[in-house]
Amino acid sequence: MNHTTVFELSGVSYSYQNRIVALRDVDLTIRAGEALVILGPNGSGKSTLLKILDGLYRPTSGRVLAFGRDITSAADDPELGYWLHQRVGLVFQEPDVQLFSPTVFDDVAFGPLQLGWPSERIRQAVLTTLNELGILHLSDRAPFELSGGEKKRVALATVLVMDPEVILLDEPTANLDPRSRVQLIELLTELHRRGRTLIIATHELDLVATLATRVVVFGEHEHRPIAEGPPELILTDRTLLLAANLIHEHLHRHGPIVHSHPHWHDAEHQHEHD
Amino acid sequence: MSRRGFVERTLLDLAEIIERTVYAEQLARRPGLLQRVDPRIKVVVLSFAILVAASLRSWPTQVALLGLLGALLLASRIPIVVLIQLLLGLPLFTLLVAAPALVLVPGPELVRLPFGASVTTTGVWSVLTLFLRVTTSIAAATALVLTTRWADLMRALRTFRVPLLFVLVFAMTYRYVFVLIELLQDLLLARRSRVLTPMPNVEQRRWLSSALGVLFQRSLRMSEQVYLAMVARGYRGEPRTLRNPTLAETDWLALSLGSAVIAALWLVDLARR
Repeated sequence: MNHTTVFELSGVSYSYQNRIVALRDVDLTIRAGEALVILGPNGSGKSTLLKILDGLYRPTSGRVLAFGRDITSAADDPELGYWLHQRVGLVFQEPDVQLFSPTVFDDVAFGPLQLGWPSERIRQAVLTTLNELGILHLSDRAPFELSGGEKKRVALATVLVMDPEVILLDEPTANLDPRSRVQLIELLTELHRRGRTLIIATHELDLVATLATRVVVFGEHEHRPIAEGPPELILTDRTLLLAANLIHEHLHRHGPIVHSHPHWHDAEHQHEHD
Repeated sequence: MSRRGFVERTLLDLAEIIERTVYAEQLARRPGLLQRVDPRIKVVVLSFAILVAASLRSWPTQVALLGLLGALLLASRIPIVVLIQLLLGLPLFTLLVAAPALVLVPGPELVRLPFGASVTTTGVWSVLTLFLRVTTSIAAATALVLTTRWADLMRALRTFRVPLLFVLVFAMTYRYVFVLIELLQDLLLARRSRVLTPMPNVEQRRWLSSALGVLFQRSLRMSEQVYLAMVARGYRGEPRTLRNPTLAETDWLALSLGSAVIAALWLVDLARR
């Protein structure tokens, strides 16, 4: 493991109640500064993998290294977990679980409070983060007063305020309207440009096209990576995408033409016909 | 108009809960008089007002305190309709409950009733005193709740030595009640969209119990996820919150003035006995 490696997983498996397999014998290395997209359909183990990387779940078997330190037991070791959470932030798929405080300000301040920052530094950091994300006006709002897009932004703010080196994002664009989606993708691009390592679990291919520097594809039934490579290579491998249940074939219309081919909806309907 | 089934009634009730809460939060954000005062001061002064209201005996001091609170509420931009709704609900019910005292409390006869009963002057005063006490207490509680945001009220509780863990659990419970209400609304709407004819009562009860099971399961799953989200941000079992900001000069002024006026009313009342 060299100094630019952020995570190194060897033989990692995880199953729920020792019955339902989520991950099977995963080997994976993630380097600093990457924008890695973990691509896979629902139920392929992506979310579980993120929770293992964040030290929230202990793998059933295998070993996980983060920044060169063994974090396999971080879920059972509060001090090790605390060390990890100062460097790695996780944005959950469902923002409601992340917004548990009475106001947006309190939610964003929660992480820095746990890190023991002085009050004035916390207030300053919270206001700066909210301002950078364009949600300063939501500071006093209660979570139930927010729209879906606003909740996602606030959830991201709760992690960004702690200034982690690595940000894990679970389905970040799920259930967002087109404008909120574009804004979030632009924000993530900017974070990556500033040197943050991004690890994004998704089944949406347009995120790969716009954000990824590397893609790892998880198989629907394998629960482990079945392919890995640069986005250009993965996105043009239709057999792989079809096999992994990431694209599908069905009839659709382009002006006067109705035809069928494997595609994803956010990009490939835009193509031209002679 | 057809009679509403329990699904429709529940849906309306749930929508009303959310609507009222959002409205209360909006009122608490209005640029009114009490909204500018620190919640800690409001808790102290208005609690004092409730205590004094419960001990006042002469009607002029009771009316004066009620008038003072009413004026404060109006200066805080609380719509008069909301005040009338709040102040007429429980106090009117109190009148109803206390009505027998009109004839049961012995004293000089005011009005003779059939069957040998009579309304006494003492009885009337007793009922009026109770009515004024309840109304004043509700006005004070309303002044606190409608001009203070829930989050600020929670924060204010900490000043009064309420354990931090209790405050946090209370705040989180309140927060997730809304998530579960939304889920329940979805369940009810999904059911309504699939039911074409009225369901027998047995079926309705069966559905309700399974819906409650879903809610319970969902809340368990959510509590686990919320805990993980807390741990992911460095939580190690020890709750922490930001310290309350220091009180401004205007807050001290509100504390002194409010307490002095209420204490003066109390003294006047004592002197009149």
